[in-house]
Amino acid sequence: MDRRNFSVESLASNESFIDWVHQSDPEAVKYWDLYLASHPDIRENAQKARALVLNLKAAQGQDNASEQVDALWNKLQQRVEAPHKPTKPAPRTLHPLAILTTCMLVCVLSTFGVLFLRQHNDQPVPNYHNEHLADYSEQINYSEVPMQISLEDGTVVMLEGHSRLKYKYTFSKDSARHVYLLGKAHFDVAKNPHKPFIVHSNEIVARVLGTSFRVDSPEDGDAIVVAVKTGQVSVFAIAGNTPANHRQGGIVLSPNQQVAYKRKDRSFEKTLIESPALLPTTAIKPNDFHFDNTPIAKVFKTIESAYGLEIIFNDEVMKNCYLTAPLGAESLQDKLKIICETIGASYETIDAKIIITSPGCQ
Amino acid sequence: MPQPNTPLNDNIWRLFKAGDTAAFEALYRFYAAALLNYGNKISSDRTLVEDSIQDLFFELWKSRERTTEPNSVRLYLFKALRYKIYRNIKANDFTNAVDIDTERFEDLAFPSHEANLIGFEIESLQMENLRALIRDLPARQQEAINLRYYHGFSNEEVAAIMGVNYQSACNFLFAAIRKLKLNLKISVSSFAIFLKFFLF
Repeated sequence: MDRRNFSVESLASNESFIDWVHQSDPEAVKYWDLYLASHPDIRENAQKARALVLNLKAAQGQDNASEQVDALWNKLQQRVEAPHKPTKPAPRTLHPLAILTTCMLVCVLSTFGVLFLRQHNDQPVPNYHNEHLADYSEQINYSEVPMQISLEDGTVVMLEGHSRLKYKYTFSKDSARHVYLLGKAHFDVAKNPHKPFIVHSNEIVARVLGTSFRVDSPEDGDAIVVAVKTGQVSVFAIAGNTPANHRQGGIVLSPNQQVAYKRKDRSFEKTLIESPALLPTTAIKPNDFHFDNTPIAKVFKTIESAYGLEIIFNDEVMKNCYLTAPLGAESLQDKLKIICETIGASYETIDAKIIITSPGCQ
Repeated sequence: MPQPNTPLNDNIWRLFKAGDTAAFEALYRFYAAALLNYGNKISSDRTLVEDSIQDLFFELWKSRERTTEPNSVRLYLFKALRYKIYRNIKANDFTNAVDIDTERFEDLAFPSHEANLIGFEIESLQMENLRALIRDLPARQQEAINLRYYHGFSNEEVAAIMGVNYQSACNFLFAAIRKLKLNLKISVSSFAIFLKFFLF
């Protein structure tokens, strides 16, 4: 490009400049980065041109077209579908115990942080249908009963009624295992530290290495819920979905925790799952809850490690509290209730943590 | 978001040719949103655009066995949709979309927009103004802008879709940009953000 041609309009309509702005061509990126670094005199024009290119793109973005796309597909399908429908495997039901036993005893921390949050907010929420469709097949459970889907990597998905899952027959060529879910499903993910398992579902993304968890993600409704049984799961909102200056970080969930993504204010709320279970990894047995004049700090410690949760209490105030109670197989809630009644304290659950309030013991 | 240059997997096309409706749905869903966006830019009649897209895919399905995979499915679909929309416009006896002479409007003042239209953090109201400015452009310039800046086609592909030669496509784009720029004021504050951008 001729030197006198570095006007805003020539830059903004220059092919390689546009590629630089969109960062779509490494050559162009290298070229313009270097060029602008060594030619400060054209930076102002380059800035204006870059802003123009970006805003031209943003100005033409459409409202979420997914409804229109769906409606159009329904019409199209009626015209197309006549001879034969693809056969769907009969849904099988699993005994609840079988689900429990297949849960992987894995506890691998997935520390994939904000990398997942894209840098810009100027993109609409991607419809999962539009993502990486090549090689994907979709299973739709039209029935009321859960349908079991075994993936090639050993992961087992219980897809609940009126839900749909997109997945690949093989992930062997991929660096990660991406699946797309609408509705509800329980995942028992086969452990593979080299290939994270990533569930895309409406506005959220859940990422794990190997674990057992559940996603409840209705297309409409107030919230999306991810609940963890074993292992650790990180959950993110998709960029473009969070208001500017209010970017939400990811949330890391441990066993017995769940997070609700509230659509209204696009916020995450972490809580305990309804009935927390003993960690499969814990060495604590039911008769370890048989407390006999045990210092309260030790009682709480036992519960913490049994259920993998955090109990917050004032050590100083409660240093004279001892507990004598033959606890065992009660639910977590019942245990806490009994403990608090015995020592005259109360408890509440905030942010997936248990907070004990006590005036102390004599 | 459009996915420029994402190659469609060979497998999908093969499955589609073999009559796999799931593969057909995947093809449709991969391109539908982008085609709707483009269609609505070249015609204001939403029903006509929807019908054209439906016809396009239905015909693709019917003729799948004798259709060979185009080099770029995306380019092919955009071109075909454009053809279909214009043919449907004619069939519906709509006034033919006549391009307004580019130069005639050159000296006419556009509605004055004092807003900083090309600042970085553009407000929605200002974005609306930019959209209004784009809508004031001659139809073919609007179309070229949409294909180039939103869908990310190259100038050459823009020319191929619009059925004009390469130079004309470049001219549409340049004329449009020049006209838009004349009507824009630059935000001073955005310069600071720009400098930050360079520090990375």
